[in-house]
Amino acid sequence: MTRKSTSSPTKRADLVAFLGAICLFLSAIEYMIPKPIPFLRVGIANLPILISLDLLPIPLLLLVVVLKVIGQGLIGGTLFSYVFLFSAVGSFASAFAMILFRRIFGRHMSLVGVGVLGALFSNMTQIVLARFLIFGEGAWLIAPPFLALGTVTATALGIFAERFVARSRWLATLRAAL
Amino acid sequence: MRLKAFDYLAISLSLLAVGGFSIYAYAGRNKTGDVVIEASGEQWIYPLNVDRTESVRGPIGATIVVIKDGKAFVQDSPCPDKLCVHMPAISQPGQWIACLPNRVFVRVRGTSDQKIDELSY
Repeated sequence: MTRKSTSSPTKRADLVAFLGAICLFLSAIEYMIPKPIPFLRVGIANLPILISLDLLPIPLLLLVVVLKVIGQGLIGGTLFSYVFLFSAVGSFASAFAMILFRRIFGRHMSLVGVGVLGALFSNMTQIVLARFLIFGEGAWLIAPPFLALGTVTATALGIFAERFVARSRWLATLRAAL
Repeated sequence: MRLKAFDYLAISLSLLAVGGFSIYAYAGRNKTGDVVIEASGEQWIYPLNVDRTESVRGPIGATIVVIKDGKAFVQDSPCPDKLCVHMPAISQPGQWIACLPNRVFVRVRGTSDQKIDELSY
């Protein structure tokens, strides 16, 4: 196989592109899930990031986040609207939080805790942004349902990610190859 | 798969944020405000969420102001046309009831005056 002969950086680049594609696909799935208000998201497009936290160096992780944000913007048709700003800021806040907590508390914190904190940071930054850009003080009123839903979905996604990381053969071969 | 110590900490922190914001956003805002009654150059301030009946003295007699179920209204006044009695009960910041003959002015002073009228996407 030609894959075996390629060097590690190329494989990483392949993986980033692949994860970006998965993000795009999951964004499409996310878009199909009916929601009472926009902005409210289950967050399944974050799964590739959660799974590759231990796999990729920080710059490449952030590249995956960039791909995810662009993918979400394309799927939702919000690439050139103010919604994109929220999406980008939330995604990056969440990514930085997840990377940070994974690197610091990795031994005592599974992907569940990392995901929950990621969701918390994403929601908080977006609510603060909404406070100053759109809704004014009313923004705090939407905080509780967002944060509550975020806790639930992030826990579920974290459990899925943790199981996936533990069992996936694809990930195991990848881990050995990188 | 088992959750680790910091997982519980993270989930607790998240739930704490939910609880904290719920209290701040809903409980804090349920305190609709105060009723300010002005008459004879004096001013009385009562919370809108405590039911009470106040008799306010004016130049031509006593005006009865009632605070009930988060709303304030004038129950009776010695004025000739009873306009103040017929005015609907007030509850939102900025609303007011006035009895000009008896020089009584009742208004709601708000703690939260910013409310969303409508949202569209």
